[in-house]
Amino acid sequence: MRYLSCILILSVVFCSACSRALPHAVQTDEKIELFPDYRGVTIPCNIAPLNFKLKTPAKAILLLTHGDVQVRIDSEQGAFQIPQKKWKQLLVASTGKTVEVELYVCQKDQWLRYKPFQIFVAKEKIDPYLVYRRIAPGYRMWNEMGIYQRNLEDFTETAFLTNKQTNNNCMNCHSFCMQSPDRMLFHQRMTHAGTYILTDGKVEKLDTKVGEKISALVYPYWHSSGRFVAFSTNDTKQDFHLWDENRIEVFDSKSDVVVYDVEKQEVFTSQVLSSEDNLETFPTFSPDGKSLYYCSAPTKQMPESYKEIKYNLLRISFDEKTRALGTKVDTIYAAEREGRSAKFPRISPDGRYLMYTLSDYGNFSIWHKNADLCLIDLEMLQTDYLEKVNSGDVESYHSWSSNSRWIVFSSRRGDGLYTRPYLVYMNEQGKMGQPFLLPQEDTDYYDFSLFSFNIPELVKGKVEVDTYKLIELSKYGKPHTIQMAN
Amino acid sequence: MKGKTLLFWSLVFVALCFFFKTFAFYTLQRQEEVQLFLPIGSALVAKLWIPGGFCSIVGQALVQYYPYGMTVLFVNALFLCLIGFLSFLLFQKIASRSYNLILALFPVWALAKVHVSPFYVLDGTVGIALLFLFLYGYVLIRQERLQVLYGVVSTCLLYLLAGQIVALYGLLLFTVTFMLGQKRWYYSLGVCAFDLLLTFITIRFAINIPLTDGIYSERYQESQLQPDSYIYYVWIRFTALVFFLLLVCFVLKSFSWDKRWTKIGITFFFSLLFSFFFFFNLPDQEEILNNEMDELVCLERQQDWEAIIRKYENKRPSNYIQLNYLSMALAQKEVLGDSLFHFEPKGPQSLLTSWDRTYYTSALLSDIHYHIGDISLSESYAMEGLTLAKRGGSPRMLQRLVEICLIREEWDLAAKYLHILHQLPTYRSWAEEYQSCLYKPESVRQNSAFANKKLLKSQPNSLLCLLTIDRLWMELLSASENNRMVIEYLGCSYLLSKEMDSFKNFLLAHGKETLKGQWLPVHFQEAVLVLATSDPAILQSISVRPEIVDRFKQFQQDIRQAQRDSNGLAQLHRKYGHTFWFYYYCRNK
Repeated sequence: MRYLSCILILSVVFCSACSRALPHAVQTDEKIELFPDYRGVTIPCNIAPLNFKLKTPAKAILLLTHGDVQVRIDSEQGAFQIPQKKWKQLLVASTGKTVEVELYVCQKDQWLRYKPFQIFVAKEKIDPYLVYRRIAPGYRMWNEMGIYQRNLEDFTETAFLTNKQTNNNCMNCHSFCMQSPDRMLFHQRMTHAGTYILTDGKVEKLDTKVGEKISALVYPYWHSSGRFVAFSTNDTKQDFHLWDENRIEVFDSKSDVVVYDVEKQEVFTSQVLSSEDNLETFPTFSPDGKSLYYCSAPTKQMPESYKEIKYNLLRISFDEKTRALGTKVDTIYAAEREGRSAKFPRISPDGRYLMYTLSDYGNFSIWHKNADLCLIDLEMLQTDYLEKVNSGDVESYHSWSSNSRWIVFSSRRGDGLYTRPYLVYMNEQGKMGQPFLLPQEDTDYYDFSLFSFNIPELVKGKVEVDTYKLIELSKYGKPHTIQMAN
Repeated sequence: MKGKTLLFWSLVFVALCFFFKTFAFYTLQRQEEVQLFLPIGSALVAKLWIPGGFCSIVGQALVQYYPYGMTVLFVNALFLCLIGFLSFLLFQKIASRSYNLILALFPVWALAKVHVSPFYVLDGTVGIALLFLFLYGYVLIRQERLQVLYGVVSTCLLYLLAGQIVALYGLLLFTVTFMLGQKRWYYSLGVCAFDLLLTFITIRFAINIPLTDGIYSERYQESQLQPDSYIYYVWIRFTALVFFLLLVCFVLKSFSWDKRWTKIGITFFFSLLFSFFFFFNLPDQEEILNNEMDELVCLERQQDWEAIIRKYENKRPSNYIQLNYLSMALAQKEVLGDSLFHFEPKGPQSLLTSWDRTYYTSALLSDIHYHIGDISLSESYAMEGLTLAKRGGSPRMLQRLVEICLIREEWDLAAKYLHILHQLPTYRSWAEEYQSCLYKPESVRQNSAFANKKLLKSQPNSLLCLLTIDRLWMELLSASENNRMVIEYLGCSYLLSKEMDSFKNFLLAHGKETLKGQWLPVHFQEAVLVLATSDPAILQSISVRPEIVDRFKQFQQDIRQAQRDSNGLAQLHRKYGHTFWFYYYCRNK
């Protein structure tokens, strides 16, 4: 027993000798440059570690503290990779509260202690998966691309489908029914063209050319019942600017909105949604399925009048039982009166808020530096221009998490060209947190990546699909043709 | 190794170096610019865990040094000699015969031919070299059970290092075991089945291009932007060739090798067969032309404009790409307007070829527009080039984008590209040089490398589809009147398309002022005389050198004479083929 006590005492002494003391440091009020900059952000309690680095490499120590729980990371070059297990412990302890972040940096043999900052840990979880297309921001051509699903609780990224196995074709517009991984669709273009609908692991390939009028279905949005999908049909052209701060211009010379009935495999529309005088696009069902939102602008001579095209945000009713589309049009955003152009309406799953993108003109906001996000409280009918969320560069596509508390949006604020996904918290009163860049395991990830993240969609789980079968169907499967309803 | 064998393979090495220097030096060198190989620890480790990642790393790591000296020759010749020598050792194991040296040349030459193709990459050869190394290790083992163990271990290793080639390894391993006449040759069937299973698993459960895609035609492979399936195409055909050679060794093993005439006869037969194989696989015209065109790119990158012009002094350019490079070189030397018609251009595309959605034309068009000072178009083609480069990007296009971002004052984007280039050993010093310009607009403006290159002020309706290229160049000229490159390109584009009214307007608006104190370029003066035939007043505002005026008078007499003579056009061409007059009056658009 005496020996055991001695061993125990020695162990304690040894261990305490091992715990590293913090260096003697001079306090500084200067602001140190971090990438990604997570100062003051609000994060979900189930997010992967917020790895970051100092923009100017230096020997540094990071302390993450909440109450008694402290995580210390020492780094020779100022790149901090936080161990996942310790990070999770920290999040569990600090849920609904804050984590204090303290940095010690050694510069010219002198340790400096920077003013601590805080990270707010929200109680509400974010949907655990983020699905996006990764593609180089090319002008006319593409090469490597793929649709990937990233587990937000760690750093695992798996390919849903890459074009390496589908003869370098184009794939786009993945869309989920109410954030469900079991019901989704996406398109493939050029080789193996078609719209692919996945329902509970089963895949169906559709040839969406309907008669002379519809060559392909484009921007999709699922009805909450899973029975309908609203699509736009667009005759889209792309060109680029010779002298402008924006590089590319994408515009429609024609577009309509149609609704696809998954059960009957037919599409239907109405005069309101497919008039010759207007360009209708970006359809979105309300979560209760009773309304269809869309954007519409008067048809003009294109491309000459591309800067005069400004989209209104409109709403009509929809009856899922009778498939009746309303004829009374409510204007949510009046482009002529307000002076800008609205796109990508997305309603929070609780039905309370509508987020959309505003830019000076046109509909392809990812190439418009003045594109910003906007929020409407559908109950109070108040608009919030989201100054805390927007930046001086592009903010464009966005989607909600299933609990309506988290939003992912794409932005080019990093370097002005490569689109990256940012996550932002919104509380029940519609107040936004500070957005933060999707964390990556490697702190150099974004520096070396020459890809953009397109159409970030939050999903409640991992999409399970037999990729081999999907590829086989894509390459050799005969597509179902769809009909226009009478 | 015997001295004779060493001498033989040394000679093969020299011959291969000579072959690559003659037919593929520049094609191989250009592989460097269509890959973005980042030697970063974490990325390399992640890649190593992907089956075949090792080959990709070794291939790309070596290719990045291709532009330096003779590296490209040594690396390729060395790999082919290694593969040839290992095949020779394998053949010797089946039956030790002197003709095996000739047989071993077949795979070497087959691979040499493949290396000339711009669609093939070194990774494939690294994979084949590994396959042969493991295969030779297998036949060195005498104990059958040990062989099986080695077979399984080598399979796993080869799978990790080279990927799906393991299926072909299994087939060759079984063939060799059978041909060596081992009692329990069927053991190797198990190893072969294991190899095939691994490949099946890779295809079935991973997102990879399947080995079986290599079965399709060469044209199919060339249409794929990723090099993987072209590698598989080569692997499958190469394995079939080796299988056939092993079969020959096996069949001839039963022939008596004592008789002198048998030895001479068989050796002569194989020599003859190899000669046919050699001539059949010589690089074709397209591959030779590719190499020539790639030489132009290399000369352009070195800014050796005189060398480009010299190339065509006695030989006319045969296509638009060559004409584009030549025009660019002439413009750089400020003699485009004096000499363009010496090289028999063929319409406006001689200055700017049409974009054919390839990396090659993207890079070319980006360079031409950049030199002219047309930043937006240059950027658009550089972005296309970056996207179309077959292996993750192009450092050359990144360099161009850095320059453009600095001109556009997009510092963060320039910093990102420079950071990437800084990781590449062969671009580090370039990146360091340009890093000094970051966030310093004054430093960019004062840098002579960016003279005449600026983004035009924002204007309404700036879409390319709403403008013509000459309108753009006019704008550039208005913004920077001493941009001689634009003057020459714009003037020559009018002359090549025979748009004389536009040329006249251009001259009256810009030509006189911008070339103040200098004579107009010779072809412009020639064109003024053509204009003067319908509008003599133009000679009052634009002067033409008297000797050109005299020569034009002579030309007018000679062309009338030529119309009466059946051989007149040829005579006229000899005398005036290098003038705008001949192009204007005697050539169709």
